Amino acid sequence: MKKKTFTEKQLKDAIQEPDDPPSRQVLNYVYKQLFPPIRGFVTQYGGTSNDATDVLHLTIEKAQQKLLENKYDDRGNILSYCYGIARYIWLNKAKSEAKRRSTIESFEDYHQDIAVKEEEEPTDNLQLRVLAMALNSMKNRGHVDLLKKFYYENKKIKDLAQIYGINENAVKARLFNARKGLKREMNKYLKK
Amino acid sequence: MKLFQNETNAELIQRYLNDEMEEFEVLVFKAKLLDDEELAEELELARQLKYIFNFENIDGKINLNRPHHKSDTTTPHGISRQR
Repeated sequence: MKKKTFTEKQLKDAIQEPDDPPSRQVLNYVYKQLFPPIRGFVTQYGGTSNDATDVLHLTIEKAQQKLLENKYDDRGNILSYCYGIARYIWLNKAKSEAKRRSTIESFEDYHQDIAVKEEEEPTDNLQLRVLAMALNSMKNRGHVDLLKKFYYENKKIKDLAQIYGINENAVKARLFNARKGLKREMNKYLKK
Repeated sequence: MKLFQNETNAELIQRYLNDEMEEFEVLVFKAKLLDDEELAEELELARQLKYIFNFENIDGKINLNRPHHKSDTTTPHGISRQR
């Protein structure tokens, strides 16, 4: 990114309140800063300049939403954050397109690409890996078995009550505990 | 506020798992629209768990690098693969 001529606060305010008159000049700067790298990334992954423009608009909207919801981490750099969002948006779109064409190979490439990026937006790939590690390290294998039966084998609560010989409320409680244990385990990896 | 007044989150998740409900993204969008973060999180977890057990080894461990089971028809994005 080029050297900034606006403060972080000015940039954030402009993105957050784009209709304010003082925001126009700052927003122009934001667009000028972001468009070249976004266009470069989009065209690298099979898109056009028009696609890049769409991605840029979506990016600003998304960043505005995050700022309004106070979900932006103030320690970062807003332009880098926006660029991260843009890459996430385009890779997701490209991934969907790859899937639509059933070109699994390119899908894997895109998916791998996503895995190494995006601090701001956790990817499915990363989340899946954390989930896999958490499931593998859960000490209560009974909980893992229960999660598998419910989420993968589509066993209903009443079926599970019969299988385990307990009432339906007890099954719900076990499922709750299993999810809780899983989340606890996932948090261990997320903190690392 | 619940997505549908007469259903608990668990019932909704179960219907989603049984492919009785609309597209995943629409459900999550509705949940977020209604500020039901808890349901949105549960849906996300359900989607991932529904998918990830396709990678289970015979020893019960998940290995994401192995090929999917042949029964695998759904990605974590809810899109069916071609059989």
